[in-house]
Amino acid sequence: MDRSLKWRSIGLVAILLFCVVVVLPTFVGKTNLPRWFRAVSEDEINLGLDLQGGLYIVYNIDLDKAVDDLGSQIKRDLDTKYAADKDKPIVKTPANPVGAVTIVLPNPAKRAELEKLMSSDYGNTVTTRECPAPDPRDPKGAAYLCYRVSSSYADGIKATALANAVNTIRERIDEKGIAEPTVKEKGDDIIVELPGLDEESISRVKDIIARTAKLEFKVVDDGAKFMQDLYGHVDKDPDAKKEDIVAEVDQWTPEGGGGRHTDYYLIARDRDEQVTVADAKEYGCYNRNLEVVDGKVPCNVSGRRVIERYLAALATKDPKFRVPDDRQIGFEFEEPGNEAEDQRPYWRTYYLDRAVRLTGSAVSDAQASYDPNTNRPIVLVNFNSFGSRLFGDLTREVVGKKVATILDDRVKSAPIINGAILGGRASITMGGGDQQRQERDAADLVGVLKTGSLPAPLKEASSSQVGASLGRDAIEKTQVSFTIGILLVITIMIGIYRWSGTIAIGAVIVNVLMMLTAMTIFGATLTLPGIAAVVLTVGMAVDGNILIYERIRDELLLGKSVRGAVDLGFSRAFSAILDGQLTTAAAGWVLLQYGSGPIKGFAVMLLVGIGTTLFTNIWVSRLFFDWYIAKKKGQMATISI
Amino acid sequence: MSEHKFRYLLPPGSDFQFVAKFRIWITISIVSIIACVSILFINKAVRGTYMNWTTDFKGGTEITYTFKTKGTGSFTSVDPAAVRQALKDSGENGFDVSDITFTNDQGATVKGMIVRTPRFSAVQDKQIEAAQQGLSAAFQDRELLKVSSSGERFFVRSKKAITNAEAAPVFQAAGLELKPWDEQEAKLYSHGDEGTGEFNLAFSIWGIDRQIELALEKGLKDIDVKPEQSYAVGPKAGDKLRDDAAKSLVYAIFLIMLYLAFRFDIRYAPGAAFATIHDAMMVVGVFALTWQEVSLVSVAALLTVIGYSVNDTVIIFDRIRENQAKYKDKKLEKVIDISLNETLVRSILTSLTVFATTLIMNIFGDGLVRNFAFAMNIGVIVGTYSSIFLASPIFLWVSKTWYSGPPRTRRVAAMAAPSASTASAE
Repeated sequence: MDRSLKWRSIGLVAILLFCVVVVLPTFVGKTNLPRWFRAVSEDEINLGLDLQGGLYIVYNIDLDKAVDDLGSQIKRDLDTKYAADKDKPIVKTPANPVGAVTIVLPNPAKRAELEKLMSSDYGNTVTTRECPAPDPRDPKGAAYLCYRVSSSYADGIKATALANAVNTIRERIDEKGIAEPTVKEKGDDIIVELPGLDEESISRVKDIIARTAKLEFKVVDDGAKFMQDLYGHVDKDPDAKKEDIVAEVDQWTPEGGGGRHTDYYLIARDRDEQVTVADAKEYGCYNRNLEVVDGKVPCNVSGRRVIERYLAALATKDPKFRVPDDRQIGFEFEEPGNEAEDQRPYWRTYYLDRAVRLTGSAVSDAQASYDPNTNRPIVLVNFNSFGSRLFGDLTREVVGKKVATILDDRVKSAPIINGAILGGRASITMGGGDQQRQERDAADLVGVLKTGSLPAPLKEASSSQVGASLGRDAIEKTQVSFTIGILLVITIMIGIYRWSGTIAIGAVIVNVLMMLTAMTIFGATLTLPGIAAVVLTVGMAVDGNILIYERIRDELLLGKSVRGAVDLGFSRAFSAILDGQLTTAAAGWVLLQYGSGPIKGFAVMLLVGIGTTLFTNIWVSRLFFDWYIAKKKGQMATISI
Repeated sequence: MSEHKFRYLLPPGSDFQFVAKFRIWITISIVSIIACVSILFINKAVRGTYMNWTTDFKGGTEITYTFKTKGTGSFTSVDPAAVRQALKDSGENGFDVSDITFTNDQGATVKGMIVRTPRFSAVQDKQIEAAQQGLSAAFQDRELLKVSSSGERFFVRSKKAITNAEAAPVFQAAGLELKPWDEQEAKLYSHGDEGTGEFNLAFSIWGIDRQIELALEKGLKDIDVKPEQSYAVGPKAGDKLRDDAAKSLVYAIFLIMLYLAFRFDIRYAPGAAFATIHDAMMVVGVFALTWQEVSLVSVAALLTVIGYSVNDTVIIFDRIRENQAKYKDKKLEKVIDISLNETLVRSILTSLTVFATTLIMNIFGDGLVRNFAFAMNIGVIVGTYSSIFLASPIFLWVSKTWYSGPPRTRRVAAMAAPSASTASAE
């Protein structure tokens, strides 16, 4: 054996070994493999929703409600502003067009004043519109000003709403512990994929995902006796230790003076637990793909739920630890800064005054900025005129305390109020962490405030819900056609090319193996059309071999030696093989750009197949031929082709 | 020479005259294309649409239901006519019912029904209006500020709260069934805004799958109806999918032509383009004629057919280019015929393997896979035909018409060196 052949053989064996190790978990099932093997390779090929069942929804942002709400906000603002006026303007929000605001002025002399106010306060929000016929119930001789939310502003809402919706949906799904969710943005759409859900959960999950966001501000009741007691108890409680619940102290001195504040809180991290099927269904982490062992399934229980569960149990044991009716426990999800020893994220509690002091409807705008003195990231919040009064009252009352910003029942930030804020503009300084972390936090908070100030509901654009049994049935049927198809190709190839036909089949098998390996490594998703692409690749892959073989036959007929003919056959067929594969790749690439879901699976498989086909046609087949020729020592007169 | 014992698919040294009968082939093809286009218009006139678009493109909902006998809980099959009648009795039109058989997790054979409706949303426009008016009328005492809706949800802003139970009869009157919410959910979806002193309330209607399920259970006595899977495309999403599909076809053809122009030279492109468009039209025509469903998967199949057809053409072009250099003294017609004969076995064999595998998928697969395989079956046949009988002769015609005669000889020579000798053909 010459050196090159030896090294290439070793290379092929190494590649094959690698492929087998990678795809084995998919075929044997990772649980059937020994532990040492799983340490090396345990990823299975991802099955698309059409094969394993589950939910696929495409959402659009329904802008109409947000725009309509904005109209109502303007009305509320103007009503607040002119509440004390004698002949105050009547503000109406007609249903048509969406986001319309009509101001009826009983005193036409006020027209200029109102026009000026509208353009200064809402100049970039509204445009004028043609006034409809006056309502006979309106005061006689009234002047009319007609506006609607401008479309450029509405588009702006859409862009922020879209970006924030992805985060919000992800959080809502994560909270339920649903396995392997995918949430992604594509153009104006948000695509959510949830594999393995059963009917019942699907109908619930749809409501949870699509609900409109709720933003609230609540006061943190620091230093309360309840938390102090809890702090003392948790430290000694073995039950808390078992679940890794830790009590901690938080202290701060407000810049506005008023002395030191001390607060107590609990933290806990997510836990992987074995829970009963009933519990899993209640938690929302149930998935029919999960393996049930002794009536239990693995479930990722969030740190929030760990604490909630613990507190509920504690309250039944000792009434002292029941949360008072006017208080509640809020939760925040935190990622430790770089300096922290334990880098795992955790959930922490806030002891909150239950009363809602302010809601999203008070906020008119938020933006990320930098503190001019320290150059640290801050968030600037603008309240509308109605909100700024409430916010002013609130901050005057709670100087030195923290006010929690809560989106969808999750504390997002809890800044300290350093003094009364009366102008309707607040700036929030970011907490710990390095500059980058603070910038990220600031951007997140801006998202939270914007989402909460003008909630835009999500509307289903399309959905697909696949039952697991139908998917399994499809796999079986496709397997049958795969087997028969490959048998037919084998018959044709061996029937015509005899031994060389066997080589082609060997190359095809290596080809399929490599396709599956590539799928596993890249974590691509196998769909039903994807399997069709594998079958198609088998049919098309032998094309390369046919091209080469026909060339070799030609050269042999011209009287070339076997070795010479094989060399020429491979080199001359190369350009045709490459051109042919690249044109198919062009079609596949276009499909990849436009396709979604199952079609994307087809395109991916087609492209992967083109890559592996080129490799097996040119390199693997050649190696097989060299083995074949090298086996027979000396000059061969002919080969079986 | 005789020492080689090959198994021949065709006797070696074939010498078919492909180019000579070019006029016949091109006439047949043009007639076929015209026929395909006419079928589209005939369909439009007779059936109302050009092709049998599926839910992907026309929007709507399709749901697969399975049926169990009440009491025993065992799977049962129902008469499609009974299903149609039950749907008709629900007072709505436009349903389409077909049956499906599959093997479930337990290995049992289950017979189900696929129900299709052009509707996407569970609520119709007149119901939205009725519900909104109903709410305004029924809850005047709650000081309603705004009633709006989005999809299957209704939003109410009011000074005083309205519970789910209170609202249910109002929706009932509008023909809508409200989703009942437990305490936790009610809190999540309907809450007071203490900042403004108003209540933001949300009400959600059961989806269309449940509406049909109830209609079926009403019509089919003693049978439990369960939705097994569903697929729904909103009107906007359907339009977008159609746009994307059309765009992808155009881009694919453009990209392939660009590649050809770059890799070969511009004279080859028209032949390949015509062959490709011919193949695409044929597949479309057969789909229109047989009234096969046209889904996203069919579009994917059409793109694959295009890729395959060009692949086939390119391999022949590759040989023509090579042979032009080899047989400098031969006429271009002769060179093309030699090339076609040389690649003939390959063309037939490759088509055979691809046709075999896709035919098997057509026979044993179902639904999407069968649809895909059907398109490929046609595509392989017309693709092979067009690369042999159309693409190469058109290349010849283009070469002779636009690239012959003294003034252009040199330019052609510069572009594709071997072709200079063909300038004086005929």
